[in-house]
Amino acid sequence: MTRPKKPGGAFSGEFLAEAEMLLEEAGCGIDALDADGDDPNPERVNALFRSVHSLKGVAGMVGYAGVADAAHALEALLDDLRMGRVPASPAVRGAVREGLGALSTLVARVAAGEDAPRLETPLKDRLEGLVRPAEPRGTESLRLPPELDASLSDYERHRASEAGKRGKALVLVDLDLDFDSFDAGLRNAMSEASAAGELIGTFPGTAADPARMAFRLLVALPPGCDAAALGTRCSARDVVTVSAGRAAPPPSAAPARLPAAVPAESAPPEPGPEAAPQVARGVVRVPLEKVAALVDLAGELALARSALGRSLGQALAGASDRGARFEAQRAFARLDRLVATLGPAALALRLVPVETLTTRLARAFARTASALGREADFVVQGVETEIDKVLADELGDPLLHILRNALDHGIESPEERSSAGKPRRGRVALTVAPSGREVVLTFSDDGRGVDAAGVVAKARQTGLLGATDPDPSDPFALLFRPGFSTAREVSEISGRGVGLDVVREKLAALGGRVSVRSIPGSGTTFEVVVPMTLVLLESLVVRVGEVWFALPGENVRRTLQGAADGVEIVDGRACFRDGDEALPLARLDALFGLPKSAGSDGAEPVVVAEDGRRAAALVVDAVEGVWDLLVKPLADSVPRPKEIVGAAEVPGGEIALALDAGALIARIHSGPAEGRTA
Amino acid sequence: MSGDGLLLAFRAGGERFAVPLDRVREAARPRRIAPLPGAPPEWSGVALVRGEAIGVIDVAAAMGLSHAHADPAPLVVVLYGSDHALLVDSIDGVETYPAGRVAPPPPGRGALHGIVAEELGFLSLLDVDRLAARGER
Repeated sequence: MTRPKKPGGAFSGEFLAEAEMLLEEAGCGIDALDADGDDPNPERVNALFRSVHSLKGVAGMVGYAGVADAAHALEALLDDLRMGRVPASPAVRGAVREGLGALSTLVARVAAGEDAPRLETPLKDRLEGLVRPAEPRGTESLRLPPELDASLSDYERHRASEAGKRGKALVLVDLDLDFDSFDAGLRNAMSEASAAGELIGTFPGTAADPARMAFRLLVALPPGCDAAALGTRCSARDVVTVSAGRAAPPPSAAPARLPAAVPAESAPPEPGPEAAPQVARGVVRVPLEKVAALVDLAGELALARSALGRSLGQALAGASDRGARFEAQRAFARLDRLVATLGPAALALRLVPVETLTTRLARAFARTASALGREADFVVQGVETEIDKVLADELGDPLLHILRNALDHGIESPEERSSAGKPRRGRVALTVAPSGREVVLTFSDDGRGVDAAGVVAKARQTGLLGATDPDPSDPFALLFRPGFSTAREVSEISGRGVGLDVVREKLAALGGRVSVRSIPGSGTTFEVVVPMTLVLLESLVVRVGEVWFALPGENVRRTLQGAADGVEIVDGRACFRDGDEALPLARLDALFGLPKSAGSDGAEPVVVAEDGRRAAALVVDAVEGVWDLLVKPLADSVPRPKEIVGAAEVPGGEIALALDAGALIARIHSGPAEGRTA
Repeated sequence: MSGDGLLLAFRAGGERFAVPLDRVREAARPRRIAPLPGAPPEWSGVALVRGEAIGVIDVAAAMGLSHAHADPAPLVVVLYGSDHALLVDSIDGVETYPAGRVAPPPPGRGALHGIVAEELGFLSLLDVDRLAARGER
């Protein structure tokens, strides 16, 4: 599971609230435990265990490894306590209290902004020193039905056996409940069971009638408690007494073993606090959001410059002072040049050497090679080539997949290579080079290669190619088709069944592409081409009610405010008069079945969209602005009108749904949602 | 699916649900979830997570439950193997149950693999593929 790169991240506030609540619960728990003395209430011990277990879970999930480790050490001791492996002696209770105190301190340090606080070694050693090695799972027979016996947790098994030792009866309460009301019925039975004795566990049962839900409660009842009466209160189908209790509780439980004074095993030294981020001389680390804000401002400045240029031109055309006109034109030309260089300069701030990426790839390559038993070198050229920081981060997964693929399917085992007359050590070379506004990453291995005819044969076999389809001009492109993936034969390295189709999709989402060529016997080359900077699309952003949409700027002919005058009825349907043309008109809300907005009075803006072939007019609630947007494609499996192709974040945080202008115009031409009569 | 293995447990609409941990890519708090016109009601819309556009399924709505409150900072669980995320109210953590604890799901309760009875109610094991497919046209 991917964790946030910086511990906590967006979750730190939530983590703190949750952690404080759990520590509060645990604090009450240990107070109650102290009051119980040497014979603690098992429910309390278990509740304390669960609080600390949950704390470990949330700390681990948000990336506070130090807190999770500390909670783990305390959890292990509490597990021993609830399982009866260590007694609830004052020494153990003291250690638990101290452990909780230390956890509170760690959480307070997180709250104070520390990234990675850890438990001091001495306390950790003490907690670990009290923990008993886990014993093999109890083998004593509880005389339970085998399917139930198999699904008992260690703790439940312990509670059941403890109940037996204490002279309690073990009873199975079988419930047979209606589908409609089983929640309530089960809840009632569980609370009755807890009131009568100890509810050890709730298990699925076997329903006699497939239209009913069956559950089975395992309950420990104190001596003298009437199992049949409990059955009646629970509306049970059946009550089975697994083992009868004794008339009186035994004098004492099995003697608890005292922890021997075993010295803690020499634990490996704790790693010190994480090294402070290195600050190289002459380098300033700037959060990406600040760079993004600058890029946005540069974009807006460029738009303002264009607007100024237009109005200045008009104003100067009528100016009589030729000297002043010349000066104004010269000043504007200078401004124009500066603004034109500002955008690329701001974008360049996002560029980092591709080395940050290739270093990661090299480490993963070495690990993968040794895991697969391959001997291979990874040689990189062109590490100084610059690439967008976001791309460098996002490219890691797809490129790693290509590398794994080369090791898994390309490079042969050392023995196979020797017998083929190749050097034992394989080689994967990565060459990175800029090419115009793109960066080309070429991975070449000297492995066994891919046989084009074999690829085509496999595609026919799996149905990707029909029997009568001609051979494709680029058979290797089939490798990237969903369903071709050899990941069906999942190897440990290929992992999660992610095939090359996912690599292609991910690269496409980043505005890139990938292709393969191969010579059987001598190797395979993957060529990945990505934009140097993420491609931003100038878009008109409009709003209908609460929903924002983005239309590519190149598809917008004009926008008009309150253009009711231009609307006329032609051929039985609403049209918009734009010059000589009568364009079909549609409301965007009606088109997408959105609730009709309040102010539908003809004063709303009209957007005239065109796709090079034809044009259409679109009524919206508001035109929010023009921005350069990074439009992300939306997967086909997300249900939506086909005119919505992706989504983009608008400066300010709103999400605009990206419209395919061609599809939208076609839809408007084919008739309005209300139905065309002509 | 067996009930063995690790589960990510979370709450939605006041009830507890879980999905197999190996299907979970990450939990995230997107700044916005943009509603998708024309999508079935259990789709709450589109979120941008790490720059990717992801369709968000509202677990509470899909299960016929209502949200306790409108969350100003929605919490989603992003899944592997699909371009979907689940909108949830809060995350309980990683849990595990032996297969023997999982009861078959009652019919008519939505896309579930099974349910596990717990001290305070139920943990419903979501069938994420069926959940997403229900919304497909």
